[in-house]
Amino acid sequence: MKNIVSPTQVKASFDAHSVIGLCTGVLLYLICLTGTLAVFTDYFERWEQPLVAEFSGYDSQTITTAMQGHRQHIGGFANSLFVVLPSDSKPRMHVSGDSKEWYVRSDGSMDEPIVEGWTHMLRALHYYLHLPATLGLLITGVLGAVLLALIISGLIAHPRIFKDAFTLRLGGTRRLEQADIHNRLSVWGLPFYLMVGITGAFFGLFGSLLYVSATAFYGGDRQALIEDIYGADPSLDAPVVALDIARALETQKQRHPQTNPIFIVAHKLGTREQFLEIGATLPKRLLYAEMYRYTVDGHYLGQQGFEDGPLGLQILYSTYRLHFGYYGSIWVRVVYSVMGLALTVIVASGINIWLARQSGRSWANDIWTATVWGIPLGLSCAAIASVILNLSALMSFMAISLLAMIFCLHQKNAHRSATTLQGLLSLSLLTLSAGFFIRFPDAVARPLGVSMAIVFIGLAIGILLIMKACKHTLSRP
Amino acid sequence: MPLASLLIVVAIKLWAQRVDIEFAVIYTLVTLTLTGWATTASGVEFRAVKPTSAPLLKQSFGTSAAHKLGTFIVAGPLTLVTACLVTIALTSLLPIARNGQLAMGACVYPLLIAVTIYGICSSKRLVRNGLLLFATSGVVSAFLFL
Repeated sequence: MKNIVSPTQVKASFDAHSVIGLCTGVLLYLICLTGTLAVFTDYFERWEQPLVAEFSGYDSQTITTAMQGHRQHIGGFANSLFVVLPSDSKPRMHVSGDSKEWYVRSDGSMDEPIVEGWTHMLRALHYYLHLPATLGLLITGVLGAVLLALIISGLIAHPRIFKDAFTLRLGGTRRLEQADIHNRLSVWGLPFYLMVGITGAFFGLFGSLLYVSATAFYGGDRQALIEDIYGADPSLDAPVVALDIARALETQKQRHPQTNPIFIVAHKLGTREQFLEIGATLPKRLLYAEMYRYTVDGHYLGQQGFEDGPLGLQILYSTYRLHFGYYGSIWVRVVYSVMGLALTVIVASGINIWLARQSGRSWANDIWTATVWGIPLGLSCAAIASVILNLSALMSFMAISLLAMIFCLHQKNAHRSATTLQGLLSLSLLTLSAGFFIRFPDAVARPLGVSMAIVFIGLAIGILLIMKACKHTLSRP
Repeated sequence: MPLASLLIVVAIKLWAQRVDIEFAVIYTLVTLTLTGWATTASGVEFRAVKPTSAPLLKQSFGTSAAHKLGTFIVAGPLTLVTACLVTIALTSLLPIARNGQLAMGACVYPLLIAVTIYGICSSKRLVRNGLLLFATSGVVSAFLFL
């Protein structure tokens, strides 16, 4: 690297790395932090509604009853009626259609409606920053590409990055310490960050590719392009017959015994075009799901062909699980969260390095302190507000983040502000742990409450340790 | 070093005996990352805190507001549009099915954006780069839509 890149190019890359990082630091930090947490959304959803019935075994009658129950609740069949089956990470069944969702008990009867609470807020923040979906997705997609630009410029700007891969020196000046942390976390995590950058950009930017491709090659007909890629729905015209989920599941088991159904969709129920789809994961494959199609009385129609279709289609359908770590055991998610947290630290330390290079302090120090510690505090307080007090998660998050910003700007002392916010964050996590048991005193909620309390208390202790460590580092130049 | 890197291939092969190749690649790279971090952390050195003169190499981007706005427009919307058009034009030339072209495009598009953003931000010739992107968009649009 040293020989092929000139010092001028190194300097230019370093400047580019700084400019790109500074312009996008706040948003990247938000995306990375929420992404780290989003890995566990299944568990957060269970914890948010701990009284919902949990079970892993089900039969066709449960599904049929759930579909009929949904029909009764909304006064007709939804155009596409989804029954999401229990999984290891979320042993609950839910039924949804026409934007109305309910959890389902093991006998198929309707349980609580699905609450769009804290987890929903977290997911929407990561997916599209709570902006209008098209614009938000585009921005988060661009941030994925920006992450790639930072990786490229970072590699060219640091010719010794691989040579120094094992060197970590703490202490000394704050700038050098932060630079070592930034570079060591970056270089080893490179393959993972490339992967999340490309797959993250894929979700956000694929829509614009589709739009322009449809305009260029399909006369603006996006549906035609989508059907060309994913295949069209089967075109049926048959007498309306009753649902026979049992037969469809039995056929599925016989024809594809290795698959694991994760959801069932009933399309256009009650019409002559009605049909069923069983979405199922395949062993040892990253594909989100292969779709197996049936008539509503359980006759096999065929499969969509993601499993053994063109490589492009398989790649398109594998990105979701790859990006979020939704495969393997819970340990895969734990590793993803560690990697995500490392990326969050890289973003934070990158801006810290820049701030440490500046002579004197400015409002930028306060804004950055408010971002780094105010956003986690906002998320934690939003969880208290939503789960314990039944208030709006988004409004609480925005209010607390804004208050943290005002507080830091008023204090004009990044060190003291950071310490205060860290203390409040620890306190809020402990409050969240205890508050859950006040809000849900039921015995059935206890296992979930205890598991999460252990995690939150562990995090609170971790933050207190960081607080202790920062006492020395923040005061250094 | 290059020879040692071949061990990664061996590791992938070993993982692939337990899980499929898709997961084998992921698990190998994750193991490499975690091992790298652990090894680095185990050899951590502590520097003595020396009293240093506070102002270090000051880095500033002393450009005008117009230049900053220009950089944003060129590295933002203009790059996005140009990269999108170029990606679609290039992938449409590939002799593969439409879904393959789009999958290829979905991988190329962010990389193209990243390289272009890097090129613009590391260059001092903003106007030239902006005009180049604008011209490219025009030519590719003509190729795609006319």
